[in-house]
Amino acid sequence: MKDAFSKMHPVTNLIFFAAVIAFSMFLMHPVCLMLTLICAVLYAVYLSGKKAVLFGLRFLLPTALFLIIINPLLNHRGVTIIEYLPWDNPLTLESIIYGFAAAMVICSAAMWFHSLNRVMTSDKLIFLFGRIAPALGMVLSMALRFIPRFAEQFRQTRLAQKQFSAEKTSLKGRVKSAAAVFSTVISSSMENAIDTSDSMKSRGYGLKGRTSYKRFRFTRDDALAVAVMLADIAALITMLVFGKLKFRYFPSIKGNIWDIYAVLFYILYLILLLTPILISGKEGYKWKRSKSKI
Amino acid sequence: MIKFLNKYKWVITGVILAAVLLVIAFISGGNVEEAKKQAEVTTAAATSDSADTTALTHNKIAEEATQNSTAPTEAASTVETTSLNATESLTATSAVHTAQTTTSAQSSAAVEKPTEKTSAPAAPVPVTKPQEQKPTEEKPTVSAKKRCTISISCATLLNNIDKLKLDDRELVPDDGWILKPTTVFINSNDTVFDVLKRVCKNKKIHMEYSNNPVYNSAYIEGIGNLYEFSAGSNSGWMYRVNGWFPNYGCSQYSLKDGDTIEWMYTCNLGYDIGGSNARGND
Repeated sequence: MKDAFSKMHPVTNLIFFAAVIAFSMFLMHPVCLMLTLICAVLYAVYLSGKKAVLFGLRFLLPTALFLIIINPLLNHRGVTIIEYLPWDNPLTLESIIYGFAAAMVICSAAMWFHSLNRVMTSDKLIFLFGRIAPALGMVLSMALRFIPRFAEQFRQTRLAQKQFSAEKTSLKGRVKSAAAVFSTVISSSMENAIDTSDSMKSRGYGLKGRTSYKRFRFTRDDALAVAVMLADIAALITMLVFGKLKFRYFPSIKGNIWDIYAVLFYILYLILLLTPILISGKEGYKWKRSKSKI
Repeated sequence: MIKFLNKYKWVITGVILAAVLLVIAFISGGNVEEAKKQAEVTTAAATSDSADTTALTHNKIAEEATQNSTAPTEAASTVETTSLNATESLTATSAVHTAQTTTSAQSSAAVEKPTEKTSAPAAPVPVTKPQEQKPTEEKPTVSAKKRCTISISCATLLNNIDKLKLDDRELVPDDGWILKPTTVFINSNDTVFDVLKRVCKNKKIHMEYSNNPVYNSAYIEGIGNLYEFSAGSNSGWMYRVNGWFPNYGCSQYSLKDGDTIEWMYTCNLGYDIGGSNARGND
């Protein structure tokens, strides 16, 4: 992996993802939503390339469309009435726009989690929580790894099954064989979970004085990044608490988008969102310069 | 096959359960109720449909006329005469041979209605319109002649503006009238809810409702973006007809000619607008 941010200390990674995901989910300001969605997609594509694009198109686009369609049908608030629906409740402009905003929230949060899965590997999670809350760390690392691991196992089991017998072409046959593979993978993953916990226990996981397999060093770069991020987060929260960035969707759309405080907020927020890309870019630049000197 | 069923019985039960839940949600959401009502209306009044549509268009004209003029009764009466003239040519030809069929269809509807109402035991049954109608007088032109006055007011909020969220305060008009008293034409069998719905649609006033199967009626959640609970936990919309607050839902109240409907916002379960009797348990 060429991403420099992934190689940094787990604490740095944790602070970044916790802050960014929290802001993505609770900030409903449209410009902030756009910024966070763009940055989430950028970082996911930077990390996993084509896979992230496929993930977005296959899972997030249908979800977003569903939300955009369903929200105006169920939510009738808003002062701008476009038309009355066939069941006599109003269709409002505000509810349509809110549907778009909700879709953006879901998409950006999912994209950040996609990146989080790549960056926060299970060894990092175990390192972070192994001392303070061993059980939590274990469950977190297993839960976050579950879906990708399950998918991988499913693919492999299916491949193995194909060697035994040619897969049937009919829909019914295919569903049948897929169901068989599914049940196999379920039981194997359950067994796996028990094995994992047994093996971790036998190695003294959670006991006092146990050290991590991998050494993570908190470097000066980490300290700098953490300091900048914490200052940034503090500034953003202060501005929010004092109501310098306001936006509401109901009953009418109203908020500040282009005043001085809003622009300041966007800049600070963008710095936070782009932290991993900036760090990786800096490392890349350093590497290039040192190479040319040799 | 049996083996397959055995193996996936939980999956199948789950899917069936989900489907049943969805159907229940769909019905209780009010969509089917509405469709049934629509169908009933069309079958009962299929023949007098043309008369109804002309009445509806005259409704609009009447409303506009009353809005523009300062003397609503005068305008209404003039429009009434014009509507009579306009429908006369139409009804002269169609009314004679449709009158017979309409009366028979509506009397059969009158027989059906009470049985449908008794299926919901919790619902208080109002005086139903079909029982008091006289078949000999029934003519399609009668539906065009009936009028009522409707108003929507949130004047109680003017005194309780501090209870409202900051975002919602701009929604309250300075004089408290969302809709000043307006005279509209109504069709026979129109309920308070039908009239509110039509007026709000025509005037582009925001109104959201949900169907409540327990009371067999529509529940008005909000008018003009002022919702129930917008001004505290005791707030919401109430209606009264001719100064009396009914203790049943607005789609159970069938209107008579000349009724006055008032929709009022309460901040204290009706005590502040004199409608506490409608709570029923006092």
